[in-house]
Amino acid sequence: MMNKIEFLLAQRGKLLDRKGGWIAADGVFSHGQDLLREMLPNKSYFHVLVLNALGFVPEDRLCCWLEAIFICLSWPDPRIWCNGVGALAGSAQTTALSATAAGMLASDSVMYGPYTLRKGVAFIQASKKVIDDGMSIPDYINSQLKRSGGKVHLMGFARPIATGDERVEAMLEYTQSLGYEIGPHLQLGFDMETYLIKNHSESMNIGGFISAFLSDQGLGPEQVYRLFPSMVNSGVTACYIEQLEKPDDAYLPQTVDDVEYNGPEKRQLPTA
Amino acid sequence: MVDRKSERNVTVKHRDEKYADRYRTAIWQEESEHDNPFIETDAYCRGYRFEDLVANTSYAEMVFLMIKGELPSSSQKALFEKVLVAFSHPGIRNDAVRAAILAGVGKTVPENVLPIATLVFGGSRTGAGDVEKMMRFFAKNKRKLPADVLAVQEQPIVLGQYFGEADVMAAKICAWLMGDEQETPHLHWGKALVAEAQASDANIGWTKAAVAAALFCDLGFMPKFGVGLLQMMAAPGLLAQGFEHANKPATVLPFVSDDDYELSAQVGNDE
Repeated sequence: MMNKIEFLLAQRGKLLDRKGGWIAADGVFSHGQDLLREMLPNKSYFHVLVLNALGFVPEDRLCCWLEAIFICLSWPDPRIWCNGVGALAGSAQTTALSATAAGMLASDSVMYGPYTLRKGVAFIQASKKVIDDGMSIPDYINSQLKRSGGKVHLMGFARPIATGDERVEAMLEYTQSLGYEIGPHLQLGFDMETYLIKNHSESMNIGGFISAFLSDQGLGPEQVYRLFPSMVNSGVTACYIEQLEKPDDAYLPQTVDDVEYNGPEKRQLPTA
Repeated sequence: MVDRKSERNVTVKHRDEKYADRYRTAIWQEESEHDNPFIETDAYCRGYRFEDLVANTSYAEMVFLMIKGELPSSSQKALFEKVLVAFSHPGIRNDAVRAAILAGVGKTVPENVLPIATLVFGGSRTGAGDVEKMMRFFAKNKRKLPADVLAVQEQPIVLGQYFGEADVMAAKICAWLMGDEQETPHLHWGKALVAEAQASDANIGWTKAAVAAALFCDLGFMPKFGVGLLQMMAAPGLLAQGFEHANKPATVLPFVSDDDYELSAQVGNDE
């Protein structure tokens, strides 16, 4: 058995046991699939996205579902934090790519975006285990709410800015049209939602819907996170472009007095 | 299939939360004596006039002032100056430095090179990604005996391996920056923890990020600044390496030949 140093020395200048790559004479491959000869004529970009992220070619309807969910996840409204970054990048006149990359990075947030999907999948899967073991949904939710002082800080439920999430309804209808049944994780999500609506006026958000649906498709938290790193890109780009085309300095311009200073009073530097 | 649509009865409405009418900051103050209210004519940092700071303070003092709220003492300043130098280059084989070089030689537009490298330097294994957690570890455990800590956690987050062994340069940086017990108490405690851990496994030791984390604690920085501080400190090295060969052809870098590129025969689970 090679020790660590022998192993590392064997890797110098080589890329071994790769799952994908381009061999000039043979073609370009990912997880055993020939991208140009097999995937390109027969599959969509979302098939390739799943293949590269998760290592398998998904069924066609899952790709339709993913394409639809991407429509739900990125809107051209700069009041959303990541899109605001895109708009500021437009104001600053960065490139479109810098702006979009910056907005995508901003979306890796504990409040929204791909990070919350990872947490959401972990939460709904952990919740299902607890409920399957016999705890009632009200007892379970109340035990969770105690951790946040009674506030609904459950990953996949409630939402910043507004209550309710119109995307859940739209995606539920589309999901059904693709022939998907409501699986056990999504059913649990709706059952938890029923309790939350009645007692806390909060409901499932689109992240919770994604987390539960993809849990029912057999995916885990890290797999889901890896599917969605670029989920906000198109809305960010839109906000960037819109601001780029506006007059200079016109993105929520601030006068000097629009920023309130609440630090130390004016003072002199100490003498050496 | 259950028709959930009719049962959900969810309406979307604004929470009507109260948002701030304007942004507030304790760091930077601008004043205007201009007819145009958008143009500042003077500025202050934490109460000190910007002009005076430019004339009289070092870069280290200015960074310390912005983050901590007060200018450093003379001993803090001396230590922080050394820390800025010690972590200004992550090492030529560091992943982030190699990313900077790839971007530079790959003719990436110049404004992207430093952000690319800094992002890679946000990684938790070879970059700054865990510095906040490390600072919280030091703050939580410094009053305990290292042996007691190791009895609970065999390999705490501040210990690690570097290419399979203890990181010699990390230990050296620790030694270079070690002050007396009052000046660098977290670094002292970390050194004792490393010694205790190495008594049973000589192949683990300080990581460079952990040395930085201990020093940030000694300087009184809050953990939330830790990751960004170390990323900021590494920026000069990332910048210099990123642009060293940026005007040269891509052939200045090695390229793995097809003979040395091995595809596994793994096949995906089609449908």
